[in-house]
Amino acid sequence: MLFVFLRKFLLVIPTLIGASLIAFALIRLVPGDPVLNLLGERGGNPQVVAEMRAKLGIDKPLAEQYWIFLKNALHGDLGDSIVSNRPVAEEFWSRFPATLELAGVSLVWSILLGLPLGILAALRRNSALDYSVIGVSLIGYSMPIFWWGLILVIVFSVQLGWFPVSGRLSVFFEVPPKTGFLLVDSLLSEEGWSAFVDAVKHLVLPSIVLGTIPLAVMARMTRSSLLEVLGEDYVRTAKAKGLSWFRVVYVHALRNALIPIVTVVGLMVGALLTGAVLTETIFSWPGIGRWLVKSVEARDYPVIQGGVLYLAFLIVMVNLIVDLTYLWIYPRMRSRT
Amino acid sequence: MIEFWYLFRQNKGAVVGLACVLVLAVIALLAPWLTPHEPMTVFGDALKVPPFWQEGAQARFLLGTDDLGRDLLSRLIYGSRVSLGIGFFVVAFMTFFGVIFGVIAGSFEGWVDSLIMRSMDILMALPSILLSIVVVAVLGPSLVNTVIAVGIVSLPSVVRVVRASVLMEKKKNYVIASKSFGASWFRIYIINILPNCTAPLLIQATFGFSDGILSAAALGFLGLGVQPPIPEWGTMLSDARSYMESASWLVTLPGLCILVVVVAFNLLGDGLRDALDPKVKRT
Repeated sequence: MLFVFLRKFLLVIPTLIGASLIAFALIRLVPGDPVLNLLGERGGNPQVVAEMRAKLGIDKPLAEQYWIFLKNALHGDLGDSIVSNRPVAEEFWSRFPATLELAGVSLVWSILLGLPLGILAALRRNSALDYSVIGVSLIGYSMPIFWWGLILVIVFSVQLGWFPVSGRLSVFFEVPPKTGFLLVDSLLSEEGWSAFVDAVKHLVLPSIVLGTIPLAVMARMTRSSLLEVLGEDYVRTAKAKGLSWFRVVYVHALRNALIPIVTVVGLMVGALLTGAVLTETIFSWPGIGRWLVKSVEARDYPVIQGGVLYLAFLIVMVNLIVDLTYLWIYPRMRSRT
Repeated sequence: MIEFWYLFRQNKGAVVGLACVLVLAVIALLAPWLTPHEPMTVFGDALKVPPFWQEGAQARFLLGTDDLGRDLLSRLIYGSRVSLGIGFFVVAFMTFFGVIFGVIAGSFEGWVDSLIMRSMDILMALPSILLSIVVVAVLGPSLVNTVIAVGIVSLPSVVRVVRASVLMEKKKNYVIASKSFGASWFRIYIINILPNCTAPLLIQATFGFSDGILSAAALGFLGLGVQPPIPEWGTMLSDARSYMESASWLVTLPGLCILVVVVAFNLLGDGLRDALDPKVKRT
């Protein structure tokens, strides 16, 4: 058991080194001189160019550059943003709660809705309900979510005026940041309940958009996984023993059907972050995704480099945790890995 | 083959998907003859003309015009060329390199295998859109770079599938027989084994089409994909954002096109998987 855990843990290290190499190689692979790209016409002044080179850390031999980059990154120092002149790590963590809040809410509602839908579809196989769940989930996971977001904005914000178009909170609320999660901070602030309602209103459309694909995948996976399990011998045995229908489905079948579903939830973390890039761009949500897209536009290399490294690190760690929980919950999987 | 077609036909969704894909392919191929106007022609006297179901529509612009007075229908039809083209080249890119890496990993095993598979893990660890954004940040936004970026991101799925089927096939008797005749590496893996991997590869390629089109459109939407004035659906959508209120059809219609294409390819992929995958066959 300990050996399996250790093996999993060690396998993460090459992945992280690889991710750091990708992040590192980035600036160096840009065709032409990144400094001249950045400075444009002002690049004519050799002193400014030299200063910029030193700031980006590209004035030394490659191997040394990588060593310094890695050493600094391990100390939590990812350099300074060119645009804001603030440390990249600080900028990252100040935006991270916004993304986490959005992704968390999206994941929760997609599971709360997707799981029962999948179960219902599997239990009423080939019924109208089953076909609508299949159809809706097909459209859901084929959805260009950037378009879906705009459609929701046009209908619910512009035409009906139910929800705000963008942002996390209306400007007239002053909520001092404590945890970074507005759902918590708003309740702690002086405005209290009304600020909380406002924050929730801002969350509705973005979380629907971001939760659409996870919801579709969830419903689909639950359905097929449960259908597979319902055909197994032990379910027939349970039925033959005269157990109640409820017990057969929810105690015997569902527990085993949940195994692949746990994996899907783990995989969704990456999908959520991908979706967050698009969702945050549509709704001007002040999170990591929008920040990175803007940095690419502004050629803010230290931010791209550091942001990619941090995100890769986070995703690898989440996947590791999912893997380990999985092994912990389902001991028979241990021998297979 | 006959069995495959029989199984495939059972799945109504798959047939619908195939029909949609064929119709789209015909539209894309015949674009110059189907379009009422040139996609880049600007009608200065007809800005933001609404489509036929809205008031103020003009008969010569069936689906209306955009903010520069270009015919939307023509641009959408030409857009199918761009999107299907991107899908095609993404699939070609990922299949070509995916097969090379997959066969090498599956045939040599050992450290070569580990090296290739760990690299694929790294690619999978990063969110796909972020990775393509990074590639575009390095190469610069353009049509070709969109294909490269999306192709690289899609690579791991093909490598995994090919490697898995190579590992499965190489234990079979026909391969052992071939080996005992003293066949070369090339003969065993490329001529004997690879043709037997086509089924999973075909399924993966179909999903590669839908994923590729979707990712390319997403890049276009972020302004990092195909650049205007090329009529790419995602880019068109992004350009139309500022007219969301005054000309909503410029947002709804290109997005609808993306959705239809992606749904069609996903239906086709599901159908292929059900018909070709021996595990699913019996259920």
